[in-house]
Amino acid sequence: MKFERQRYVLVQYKFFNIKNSSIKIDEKKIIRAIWNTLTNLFGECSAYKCGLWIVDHNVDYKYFIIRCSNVTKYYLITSLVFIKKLDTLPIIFHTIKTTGTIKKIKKLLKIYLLKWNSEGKFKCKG
Amino acid sequence: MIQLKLNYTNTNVIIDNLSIEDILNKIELYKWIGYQNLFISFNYDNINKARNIISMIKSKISLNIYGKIQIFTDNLKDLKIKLKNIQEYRDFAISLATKDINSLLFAANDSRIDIISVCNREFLKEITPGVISLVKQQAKTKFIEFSLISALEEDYYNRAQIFRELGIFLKWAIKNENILIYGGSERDPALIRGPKEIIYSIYTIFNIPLNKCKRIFRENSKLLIDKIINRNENSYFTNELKFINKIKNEI
Repeated sequence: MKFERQRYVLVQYKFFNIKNSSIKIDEKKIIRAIWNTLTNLFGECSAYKCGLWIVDHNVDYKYFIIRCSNVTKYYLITSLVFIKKLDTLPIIFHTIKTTGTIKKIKKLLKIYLLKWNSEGKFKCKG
Repeated sequence: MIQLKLNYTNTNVIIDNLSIEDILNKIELYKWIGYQNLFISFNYDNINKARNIISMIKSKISLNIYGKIQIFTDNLKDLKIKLKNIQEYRDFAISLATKDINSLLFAANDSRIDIISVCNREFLKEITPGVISLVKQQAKTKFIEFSLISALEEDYYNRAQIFRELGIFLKWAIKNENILIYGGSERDPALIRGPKEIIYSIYTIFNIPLNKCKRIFRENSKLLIDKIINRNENSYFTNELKFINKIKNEI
């Protein structure tokens, strides 16, 4: 059986228009929301090729690393665009970087964490 | 390896009826999500404070901010009246949003109008291949602005209908990709999406080549920015027109 190549996408998210900025959300809810929009937009026939898996999730810095197949990277990012709410909370996803190996993305993540720390996490509310 | 910083532009940032704090929060959000150039849209009726607002934002946020005057009109006569005084706002991009086909045809030929806006679904329905063809004749100086906002606002079958309308429009327009630019026109800040995400969604949904999608966000908007910057210089010429400053205290 031939291996399929995989991609790791670093995604940041931000809740919008909420007073309690320290709200934390479970990664299961995120992956369920992605699956829902993926099947709505592209159908089950395309969605089964994705093979989504959240590798890492940080609720403090509000980022996660998601693994998907090489071919369906664009499907994943498109479905992130069309997610408007998680648990009735308005949410914005922002894809930062895509790599081919987990080692590379974790290396990059360290750089981004230093950058976010220096910026004071996020300037915007949420 | 040196990585060049990519410039992404959103040509329709709506700040109607927002307080100064909300405006700044919204612009910060655009910065966070990856835009470097923003065109802030002002209605033709309240453009008095436009320059003050732009300078205030520029002083607080390090982004390239430009102004845009959005003209809404129902008939050609009204459009001509509004365009009479538009020369005073040479540092602004001038855009037109209308359902009237005569106004659209007039705007496609008139050099004072830089952008024809079809961001909303109601305006998208009215644009014809004839208008697109006229704009193509002036490619790189005149642009058509579109948006995914109406698809983002709707769900399920309504969204599919909008995709179809957008798909037909893009099929006509993409033959000459130099005329397209992206204007987000997000009234609700929660619907703001990043440029890279929009590029990938246009690529996957409408099957438009990736290099053409990227061109919409980078090169075309750069052409528009260059045009506006050059226009403010006294020595600016177009093919047939020359802008002449008013001579004050002549008499």
